[in-house]
Amino acid sequence: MSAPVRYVELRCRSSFSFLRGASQPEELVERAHALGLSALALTDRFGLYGVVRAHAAARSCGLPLVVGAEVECEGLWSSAGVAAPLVLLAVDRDGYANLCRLLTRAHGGPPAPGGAPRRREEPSLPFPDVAERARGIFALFPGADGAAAERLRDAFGRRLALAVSRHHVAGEEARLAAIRAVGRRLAVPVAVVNDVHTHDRRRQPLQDVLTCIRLGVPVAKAGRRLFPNAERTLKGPDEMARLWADFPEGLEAAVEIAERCRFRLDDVKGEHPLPPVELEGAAPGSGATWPPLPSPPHAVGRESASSLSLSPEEEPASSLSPSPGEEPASSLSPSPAQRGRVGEGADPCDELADAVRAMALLRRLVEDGARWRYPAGVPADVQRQLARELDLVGELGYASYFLTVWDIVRFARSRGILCQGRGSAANSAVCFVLGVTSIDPVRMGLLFERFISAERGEPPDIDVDFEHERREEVLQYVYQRYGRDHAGMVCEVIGYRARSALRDVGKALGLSPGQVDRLAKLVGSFEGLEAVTPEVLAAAGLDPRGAPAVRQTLALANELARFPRHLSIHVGGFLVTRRPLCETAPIEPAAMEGRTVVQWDKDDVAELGLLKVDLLGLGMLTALSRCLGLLARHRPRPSRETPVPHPEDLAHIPAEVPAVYEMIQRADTIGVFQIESRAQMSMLPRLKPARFYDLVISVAIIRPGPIQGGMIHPFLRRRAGLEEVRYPYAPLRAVLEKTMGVPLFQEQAMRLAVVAAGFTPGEADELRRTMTHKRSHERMEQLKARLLAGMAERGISPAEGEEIYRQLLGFAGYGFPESHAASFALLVYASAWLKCHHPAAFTCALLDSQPMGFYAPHTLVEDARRHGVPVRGVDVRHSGWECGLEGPSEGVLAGEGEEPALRLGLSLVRGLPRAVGEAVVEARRAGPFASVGELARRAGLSRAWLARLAEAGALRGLAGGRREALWQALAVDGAAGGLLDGRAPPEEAAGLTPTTAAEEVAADFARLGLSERAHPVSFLRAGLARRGVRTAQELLRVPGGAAVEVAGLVIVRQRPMTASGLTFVSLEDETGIANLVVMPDVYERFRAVVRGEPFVLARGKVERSGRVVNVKVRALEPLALAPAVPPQARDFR
Amino acid sequence: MAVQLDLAMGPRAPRVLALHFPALPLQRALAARGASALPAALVHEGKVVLANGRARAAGVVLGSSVVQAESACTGLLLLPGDEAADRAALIGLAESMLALAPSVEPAFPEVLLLDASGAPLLAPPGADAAGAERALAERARRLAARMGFRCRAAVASGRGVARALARAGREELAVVARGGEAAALAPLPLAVLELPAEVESRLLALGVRDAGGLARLPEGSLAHRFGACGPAAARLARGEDPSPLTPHVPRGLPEERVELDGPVDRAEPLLFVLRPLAERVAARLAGQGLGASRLELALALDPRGEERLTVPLARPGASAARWLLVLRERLGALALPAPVTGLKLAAVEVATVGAEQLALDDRPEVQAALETVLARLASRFGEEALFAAEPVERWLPEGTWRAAPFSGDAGAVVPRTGGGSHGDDGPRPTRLLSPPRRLVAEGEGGRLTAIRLEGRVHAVLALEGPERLCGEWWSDPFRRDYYRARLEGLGDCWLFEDGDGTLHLHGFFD
Repeated sequence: MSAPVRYVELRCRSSFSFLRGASQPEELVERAHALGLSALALTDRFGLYGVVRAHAAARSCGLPLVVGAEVECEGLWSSAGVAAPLVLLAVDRDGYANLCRLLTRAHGGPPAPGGAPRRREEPSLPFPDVAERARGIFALFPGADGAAAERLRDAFGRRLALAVSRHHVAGEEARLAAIRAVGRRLAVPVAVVNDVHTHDRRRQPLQDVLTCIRLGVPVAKAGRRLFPNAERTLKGPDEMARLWADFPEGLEAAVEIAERCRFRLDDVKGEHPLPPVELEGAAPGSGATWPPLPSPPHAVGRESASSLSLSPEEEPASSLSPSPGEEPASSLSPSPAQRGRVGEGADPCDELADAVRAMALLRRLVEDGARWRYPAGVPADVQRQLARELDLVGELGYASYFLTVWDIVRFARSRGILCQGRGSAANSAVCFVLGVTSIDPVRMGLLFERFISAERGEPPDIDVDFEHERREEVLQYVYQRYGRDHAGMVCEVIGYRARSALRDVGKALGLSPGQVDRLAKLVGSFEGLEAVTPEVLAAAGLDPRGAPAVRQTLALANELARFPRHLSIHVGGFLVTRRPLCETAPIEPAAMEGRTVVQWDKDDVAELGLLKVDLLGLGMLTALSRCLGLLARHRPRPSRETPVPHPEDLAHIPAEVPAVYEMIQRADTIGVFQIESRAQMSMLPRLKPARFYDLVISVAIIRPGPIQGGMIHPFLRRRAGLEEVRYPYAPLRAVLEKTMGVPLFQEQAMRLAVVAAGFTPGEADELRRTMTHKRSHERMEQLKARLLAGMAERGISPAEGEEIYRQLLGFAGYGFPESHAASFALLVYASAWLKCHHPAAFTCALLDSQPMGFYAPHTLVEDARRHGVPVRGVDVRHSGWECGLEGPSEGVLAGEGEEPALRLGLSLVRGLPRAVGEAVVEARRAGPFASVGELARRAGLSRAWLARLAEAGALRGLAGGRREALWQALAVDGAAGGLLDGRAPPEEAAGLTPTTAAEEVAADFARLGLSERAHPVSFLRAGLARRGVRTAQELLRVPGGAAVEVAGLVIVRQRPMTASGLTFVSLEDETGIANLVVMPDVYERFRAVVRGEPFVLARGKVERSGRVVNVKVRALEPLALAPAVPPQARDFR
Repeated sequence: MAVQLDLAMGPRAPRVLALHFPALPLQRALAARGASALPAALVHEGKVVLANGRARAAGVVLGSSVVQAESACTGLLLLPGDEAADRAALIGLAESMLALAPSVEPAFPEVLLLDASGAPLLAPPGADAAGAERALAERARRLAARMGFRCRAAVASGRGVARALARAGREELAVVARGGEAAALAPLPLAVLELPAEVESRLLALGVRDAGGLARLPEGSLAHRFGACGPAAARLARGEDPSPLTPHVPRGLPEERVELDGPVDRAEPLLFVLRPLAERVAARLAGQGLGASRLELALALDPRGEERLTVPLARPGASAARWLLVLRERLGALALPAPVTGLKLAAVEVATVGAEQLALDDRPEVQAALETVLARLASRFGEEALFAAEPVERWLPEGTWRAAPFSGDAGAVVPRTGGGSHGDDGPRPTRLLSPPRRLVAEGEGGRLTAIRLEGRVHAVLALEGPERLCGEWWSDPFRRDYYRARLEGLGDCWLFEDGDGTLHLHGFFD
């Protein structure tokens, strides 16, 4: 009996060759295993994008995975301008590092000195680069060019083989013979590969379609650009043996090569970062001498505090002594490798010692931070929690990760950039005392396992928000601090969804644009193709029985869905590694200048246990920073009495001020972080937040999860005392008490599984993650059975068990962790306090931080006016580039204690460059402008910019009126040294018609997007009043059920997926905002009005629920009104 | 004295009839299709740029995408925009209007300006000047209507004034007496003056909304604000527009027509009349270095109707004698339903033809004979019966060619699609059998030893392959393994085994 044939596929492309391979990495691995291959090499084109997924799949089925890539090598063979294909396989860790460096080079090329690498549209790799980095790489050359093979042999030595394939295509036998002859002549082995593009022959149609998508041609016209047959598929050893009966040694050569390639991706695991943790100017052990962190905004305890500055319980502090084996902190001093950039200088042998040093340093910082957070002594429970966390961090080797995050936060604070940790990091007491987060997790009773779990074996994920306008400074700091070879952003693989797959496949199959569009619109943005039933197709006039192309499109789109389409940048994920990052994963320049990304996404990074930190941008932090800056500069008189009228940072904002909560209960929250949306504003009067924890609930409750899980109404009823608070299992009281028996947070879901079903914390987190990512239906079923069985054991009835499961399922995917909600709630309170006490400064900051938030600037300005803030228009005599605060006199900055007015800035003038605006401000420093001509002369403005300012109304003060100003501006020769040098020639009066007030407002909207003079609807009020149309204010007093008409400017149009087809429209008039609810049938009848009209008159019935008033619309009509260029509504976002 | 006064006042504005064809591109496209009753929209770069009343009533919005428009209006006729055709249509209208006016200026894209000074000559007896101009305008509108176009008309002094009044569209036909221009223009919106967009928007921002407002602005203030355009616009708004017409000089593809003195029902007299027509068309083409590759002969029938003959030519040329050979053939074979009262011959398709340098062994008479034969074949059997084979990039062997128009240029080969092609052809036979013949395989030990074709056995002397070809799963999928076989008695053959394992003979390597 002969020995079984062995075969290894060494040339294999997956879907991550981007439109060049028709199988997912997992499919290839599973098929290779099923076919009995001894190993598989994944060799995607110019990348390792799919290798982590393949690695995970290979590990679970026990198939050895060789890591490699296929490149096109320039200058290798004699044909000028034609790149030669070359398969590169990693033999060992060094070879893998070289492969990563080569791929990095191929995508970006050498960066300019001191600059970021430039992105290449098509990657390319010159042969000298390959030769230079050949160490540890095995090369496969599928060519018959003897000279090229000779050059490769010189570079790779015995790590070179020629590759032959047999696909039953014309002329290949001659080619095979030529390659084998070259092999014999040069004594280079020849290995058999099959140049795999699919894991199964049945994927050939998809392969053809991918080719057509890539080339932009329909299949019927692709001709010979498609493969002639389906032979480039994975084949088992027996089939390959039959195919290569004349050359069995080629198969054996492939196996031998695979055996030489010992590198596995697991070798990358555990390469944790080593940040440059030198402590500038001070020894770390000296306690408080490290650069002090500005006080965090405020810390919140379990009980409602009288101030947001924490008053810890009086408990004696005890030191957080290091674990046995760790060096004492006082002996710490950074190694040379730790100073400045890490990387090439770092000795890998020192990793363990470095880890010990990092842990000791972390302990030191935590001790210092604890003393800073709890100046009266660290409470015992906090000490216990810190010790527990530090032990776990030490055990898992994450100390350097915490230090990296601390370092980044420290940098941001040193630059005055507001930042705050969010997400599950807020569950960590260590993060709290390091100043990374602002929530005291011990006081809040937050679940640490949501952050780190030893069972889960996955790295923690720390997210930090920064002012969005200054986040780039932080990102560039990370690149600069750690070096582009050591730091890179995580990519996001944008995959095909049902709709995009239908579009691309339909186009490739030759469907008409109209058909493709109709087909694509049959599925929602987040729906799968299962939504496309035959009935749905027939209703859309697409009968798959009559049109094979439609049927084929559906089938192939289903295969294509979830295939990678292109790379994007993850929203903020950063990798920082001890070893140069470009030796761990290929780095490529992103489309955005100055950014570089690794070829792996966040799941890949997590799979390999690499630690990432998410550096995110948050508009509200920018606005808060600006607002605090305004208050510090002007120290204006607050609108309400406040014990600390001019807080200089968030930490000094007084806590739990009743007036703030009264404002929130009235839903007077336009501009307030997170609770300004219409849905939130309709919830607030019902929820009646009265303390900080209510804000935490407010942030978390208006989410698809709690809505779909049906948690909102039970919670509101219980809160209003209309329903008894009950617990299906008594011990659940401790878990659900603070949310009245209704689970609202992810932590509660996890604890619920622990308490009610006996899950371990790690298992509970797996439950959350499985629900969240819907990764495995089979696993979900197992967990559900376990959950129900556990609950049954504890006496929970099957019905209640199912109810609990349904609730968990409902919100797990879209729910907030409590820690995250609490972090956000801090900003909710801070922004609400500022709006309540300093509406002028708050609006000013919001306007200057645009785009951000829910509402357009005109709505913010209207809201400010309704709150009594004097708003002054854009005026070259007084406006800065940004909006600002003025005192009672125009043009005079608000002084300390003066009632401030809001002065609109030149930045609001549409299309005006910042340089022009700043030139005006600069010229004004020398004295006021006497005329339009003088302005032009002194600021060096061209006639075009003068005209733009005039049309925006910014020259009225110099010329008497908008039209007069424009007339004068057009007459000015503003060019320096021009004939008239900015002076208007003498001329007779033009006799221009003065503008009406309505025209002024219309012009304001056209040129600024807002008007400080009046609301546009106010000009129609007399007529509307005669017709009986109510104002938004009057509507609040109309009894429920009454038929009404309301009119206004559409500021919000929304059709949430969770609202069963309802459309929510908000109309703004001069008195406030009226909320409309448009039923689906009414929407269909008045579709054009709902979707397109800027001003609308609506008829309907009043619906009241407490203080919440809606109009259920029966009919709509457009309202003819002045602004020719209406402002943008928040449309269906 | 009067002459001196006129000179002192400067040039006198000419009387001009302006015809404005609203949405001319849509009118043109609909007229070409004879489908004016349908909801229709004109599309440019995937967006609706014009829509007729029916389409707009159904909800088609300008600027919407094709898909949106189709969704809004069932049965919407989507017509592609074609600026060149629009210009040609306006030129065609201009040439037709030459029957009514001594000079015509096409003011693209939608206006014709006619010299109306000769209106009294065409007016009914006794008509006054205004009546004569109105009559001229009505005749022009009727003529346009006959050609399938609707227009508004205005007669006034000055081309810009007349054009603005026609575009304003308040009346279908307006005649403004000399001196009344300013008053007529005053209430019209600025847009009718067709000012540069920037000037118009600036004027609107200044509160100037109509021509009257512009006319009131001090003229001396306009030049340094708006450049030369400012005072010119103000003068136009005041009705001062002395600029002369720029007459159209006909260009483009020539056509010639003739009205017969009496009905003719035989071919010979028609050929007699046709000869000078063909010679004039040919002469005009030759002067531009063009040759016709397709002619159109329109026979106006008595009392109404028309018979049109499209006459493809084997090779572009400008020889009336060669055309007549073919025309004789076509006319001879034609059974006319009615006598002919007129003929129109047009070169509807032309190509540049250069002078040819003959080689020593060239035989132009053979080429001429071939052209005659091809033309006669095309005429007799239909244009589609005459074609050349053009290679197609496709794996299915019998699908690697397609019929293409016969150009007459021997040896012209369509180049292959460049880049990305997978592999070259393997051995391909010189003859393909259509359809392939089914074979019965005979063999032993898994080896093919002979095949049986129509009862006769042929030993397999040699066999190479397979070349595996499959694909076209989207229409007619195939999967074949091809072999080159030397068969006893048949020579080198091309065999294939299909997906069912059946063997076929597909061709011969002669």
